[in-house]
Amino acid sequence: MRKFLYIIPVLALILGLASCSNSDDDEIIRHTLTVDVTLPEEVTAAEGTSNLVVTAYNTQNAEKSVAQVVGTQAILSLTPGTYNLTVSGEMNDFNLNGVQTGVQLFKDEAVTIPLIATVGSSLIFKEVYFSGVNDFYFQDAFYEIYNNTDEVQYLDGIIMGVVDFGFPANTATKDHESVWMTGTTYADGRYPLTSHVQCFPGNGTDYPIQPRTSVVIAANPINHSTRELSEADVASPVDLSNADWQLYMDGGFPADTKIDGIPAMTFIWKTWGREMMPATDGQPIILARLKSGNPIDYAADQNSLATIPGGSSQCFMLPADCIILDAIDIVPASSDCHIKRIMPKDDAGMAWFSGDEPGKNGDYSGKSLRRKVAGFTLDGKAILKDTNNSSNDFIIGGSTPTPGVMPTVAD
Amino acid sequence: MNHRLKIMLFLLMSGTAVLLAQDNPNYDYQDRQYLGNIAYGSSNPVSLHYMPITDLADIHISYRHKDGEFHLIDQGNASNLWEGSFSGMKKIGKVTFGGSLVYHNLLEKDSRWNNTLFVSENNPFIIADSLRSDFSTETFHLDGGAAFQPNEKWILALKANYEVGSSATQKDPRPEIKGMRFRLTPGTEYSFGNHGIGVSADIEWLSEEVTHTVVKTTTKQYVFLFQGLGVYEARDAVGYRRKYNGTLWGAQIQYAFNNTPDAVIGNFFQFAYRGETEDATDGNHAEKYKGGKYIGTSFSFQNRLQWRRSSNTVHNFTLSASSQDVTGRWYTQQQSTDDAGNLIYQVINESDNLQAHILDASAGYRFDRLFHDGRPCFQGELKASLVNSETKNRIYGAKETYTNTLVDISATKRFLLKKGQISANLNTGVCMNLEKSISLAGMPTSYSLIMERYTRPAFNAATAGYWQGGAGVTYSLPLSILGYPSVMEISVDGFYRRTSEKCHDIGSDRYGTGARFGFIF
Repeated sequence: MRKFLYIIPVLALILGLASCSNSDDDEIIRHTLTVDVTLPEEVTAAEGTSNLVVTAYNTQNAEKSVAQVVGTQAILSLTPGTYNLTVSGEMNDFNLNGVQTGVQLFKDEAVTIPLIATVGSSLIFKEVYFSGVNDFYFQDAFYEIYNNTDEVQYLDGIIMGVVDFGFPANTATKDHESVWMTGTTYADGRYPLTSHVQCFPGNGTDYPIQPRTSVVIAANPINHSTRELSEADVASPVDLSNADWQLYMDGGFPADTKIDGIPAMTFIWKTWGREMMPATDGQPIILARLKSGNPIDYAADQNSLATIPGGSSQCFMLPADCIILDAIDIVPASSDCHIKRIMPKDDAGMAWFSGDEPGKNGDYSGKSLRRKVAGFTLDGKAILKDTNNSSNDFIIGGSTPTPGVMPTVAD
Repeated sequence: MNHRLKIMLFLLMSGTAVLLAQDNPNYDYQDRQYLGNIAYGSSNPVSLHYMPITDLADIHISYRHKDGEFHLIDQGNASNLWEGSFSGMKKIGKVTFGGSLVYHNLLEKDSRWNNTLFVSENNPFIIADSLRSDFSTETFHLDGGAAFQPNEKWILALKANYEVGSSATQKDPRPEIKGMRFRLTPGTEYSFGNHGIGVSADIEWLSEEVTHTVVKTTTKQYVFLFQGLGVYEARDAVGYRRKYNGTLWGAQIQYAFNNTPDAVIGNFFQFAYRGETEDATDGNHAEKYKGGKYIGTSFSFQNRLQWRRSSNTVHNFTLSASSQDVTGRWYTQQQSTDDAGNLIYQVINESDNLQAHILDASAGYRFDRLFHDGRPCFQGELKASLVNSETKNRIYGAKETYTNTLVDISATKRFLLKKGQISANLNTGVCMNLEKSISLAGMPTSYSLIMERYTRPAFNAATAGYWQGGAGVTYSLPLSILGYPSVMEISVDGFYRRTSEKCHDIGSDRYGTGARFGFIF
């Protein structure tokens, strides 16, 4: 004890100075967010809202908070910040979803979120992969479409495309809202597609897809895992030599491989790139069918194009009345880039694949986005999860690509 | 060898003669300045006026090597420091001038977690990367001051301090840092009888810019924009640029009793206030992102009592303490575009989310036995200090606190050796952690990796107890060079430090050696 005696005068000094300092309490800053939901016409409160959940996603620190909706209201106590809010649940045969982005919570706030009722789609993406691997190898992309019904569906005329980021003039970063959008809606209800837009050929019933089966569309239908590697290269995780369809643009780039015997989708419009090329760290993609008419004829009409607001580049505009079969609002993993570019009626959530660490962007990570398996039919076929909310429906963060392979256990 | 250079060297050598130690008035001048000026170390440049030796020049070069893995998290494992310095004083009439020029060339190996140079050590808004690389740093430090005594009652003084430097690594993301600090300190003192009351003030400007360049673009590189306690935002390192701009204001009052070189009892007291802010701003002139604002305030005092028990024995008792408050202001910003289509950030909220309080106190005793000519013969020193620190994040409730105490003992003995002198120093010390706690439970899981790789290791290193020992020898030889009396000094020293902490994320020891050569005129 004696060895500590010298501390006595020193402690006296500290106590004297401590009285001069600011005396702050240990209060932690929290604000209350009250979320009221407005039910759609299809359902009533009497049917119960017990399975409705509000998820608050902090765009600064990627923290998620959830609260159950009681009656038509949920109350959350949150740290200050900017939040993206989603409401999701199921009622009868409807998926209920609602979204409000960019909610700034720096004092107690209340928001009202209208819910949208949707039913599951027939043709949906089972898996998409376009992150690529080092060193800048992204020719191994694929898109797998699944018939999530017990009836035969047809691919004929279905359009697949990449939604434009909507960069403001003079910028090319993804942490800002699309200039095409006001809030979470497109001004005229039309999605702007960029890069290359393609459709399945056929006259309506030429290309059937059997119940609970999938087709794999390969950017280049070869075995990418055996490509010759140089010093900085990483082997691709995919073998696409058994793909069902291919993307091939005649007269395109030398790396755009065409394999005879595998049908190719029809390119109907292009603006840049060697073929359909979503950004390797994430970009929304969409699967749509025109309500009437032929996609090729529609693409030939100049009214199908529009110039980006404040810029000069053009985009292919999906008509407002087209049927959106599926859309995945794929965003870069970095939380400041979690900005919606798919309208909530088509995807109420957002999905991403990460790099080697959570929160790092997943470009050249070799990861795909795969939809979760909700269960299996009596004969063992997969029922994929389709709640119109990619945050819930897909494996967030990504996983190893499995083209043409269906999981045997539910996620 | 150049013919002219040979002639100059010959003239220099032929004009050099060995003198006796006591023949040179500037022998051991640092200790004699300390013992002869009770206000030595004061913030007020008026203290220049009271220096007992006012006609000297000191030119030195030195080399120092440190190694070992026990160090703060943002320091390198090994470092090599070259230093060249020139300092001097001169009294002309009623004005005493003093100044110095110091050049540092530092190579710090395997360093990470801090890509800044001159920002305050309490500033939480540090830009950094996580990859170890070798930092090559050059700094120049110039200071100069003058004290003027227009009459017996008043002394007026002004001091300027300029520090400029650059630092860079040759490994992605290749931070390049250029920084500058400039401080002006005016001061005055009014004397009546044996008493002197002084007032001084500081104003200082900081400017620093950090840019990053990535050569190998096939690998994604990130910089971390820290906000304190490991909270961060990660940004693509390619071309990432940050600027720090800061100002500091300080004011001090002093009271000196019996500030004469031979006073039996002398006392010096200083009370100081300091306030500083540093703003971190990222991006170019069009796209500005506020990285955060650091606000620091502190109060401090120091007291020194000197007692000359006899003509050859001097006792000094020192006491000092400071209280620092640190605030980290976070900005929440929203992107938008201006009329010209440029991306801009608008602040939608600002909040003082990080708070820290640091208490620092020390007490010391120094004993000097003097030769008959007033030079120190033996010197013993004991110093005990205590640091109490508390840092908390008001958003997530994270908090770290610790109290460290450090005791240092040092003894220096000077031996006359023929016409020169050998000065031998032995020192030892122990640092003990009296209490510590860190609570990160409320931090979002997205920060968990950095908490484990940065926040906890940084805390463990800052709170690790250790013991250390060191020794040094200086040989001084009085010379007359071309008729000018001078002292040639050669010194070597070394230290060894070992922690008692059993922690996998910090190393166990640190050691260093140094050598110094120079002349005092």
